[in-house]
Amino acid sequence: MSTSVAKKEGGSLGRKQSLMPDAAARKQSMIPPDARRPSVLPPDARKSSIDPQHAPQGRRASIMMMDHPRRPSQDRKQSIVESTAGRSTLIVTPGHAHRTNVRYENTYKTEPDVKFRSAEVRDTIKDIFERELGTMKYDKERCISLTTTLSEKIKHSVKILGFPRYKIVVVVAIGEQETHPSIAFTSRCIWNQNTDNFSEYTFKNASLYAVGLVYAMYMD
Amino acid sequence: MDEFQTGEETAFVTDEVTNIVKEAIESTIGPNAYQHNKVNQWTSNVVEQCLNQLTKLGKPFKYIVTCVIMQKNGAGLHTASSCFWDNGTDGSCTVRWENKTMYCIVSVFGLAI
Repeated sequence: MSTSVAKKEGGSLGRKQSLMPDAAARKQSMIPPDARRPSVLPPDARKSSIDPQHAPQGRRASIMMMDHPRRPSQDRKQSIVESTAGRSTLIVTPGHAHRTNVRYENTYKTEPDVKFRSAEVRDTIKDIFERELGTMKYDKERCISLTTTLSEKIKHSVKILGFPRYKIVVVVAIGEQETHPSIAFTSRCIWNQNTDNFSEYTFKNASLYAVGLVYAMYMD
Repeated sequence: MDEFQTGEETAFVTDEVTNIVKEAIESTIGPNAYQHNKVNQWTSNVVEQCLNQLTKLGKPFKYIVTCVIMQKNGAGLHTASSCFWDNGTDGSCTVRWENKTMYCIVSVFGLAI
């Protein structure tokens, strides 16, 4: 008995030719027929399992995406699990492939599993600044690219620390050290006080200063 | 279900936010000259005003507003930001403003809820 990949009405046209000389030479199934595990479905439920509206008690409802009404059962018939004697074939036709981009809705997990740890992130920023800046002199050309690479590095390190469902914003500012301080840096946020937080570190050496800020906003 | 998927209402609109920020800066420090003892108050006022106007827009966003005020005396400053967010819904805008004695740089980040 050959297994056909696609069931067609046209008979032999759609059927893949078997390479075996005859059925007797075919390798026997490894599992003896009487050792097969019985089906978990109740025996009367098998034929009606195609129709989702009248699912038998043993079968869970399918998990479908929530942003469209349940399709009529005609579409379901295109994806069928059929059992022939001993062998099953899964047929899935691209009935759903033409659907436009689906926007998933929030799953609304209001409390994070892992809260943002600002002290740990502060140490991370400190390490990166000390490693990259060290005793560097302020140089206009170099600092332009240095700010972008530093902010990427800090973002990457925070992602590695692992705060799932958090959106991260990293701000880095590098400026020339002056004898008289003449700069003020302020920030304020509208956020959820229980779940969102920020972390800040200022690095100074003889010729420059660097400010690193990391904001973490929980996405519920 | 459909109201959550309308693109125009839930995306970050840069122009609108830029206008809000410009107005906030001009009304707070517009005509003034740099004064070291007032700078802290100015930055707080600029940020507060920006946030108030942004919340009045009534969009489902969390906001981060940063403000830097620097005196014009030849020192250089570079800022950069890097964000891990949803590109379709979140956005940022930065406004650079100056008068005769000082620079003011305000950045607004909007993250969709």
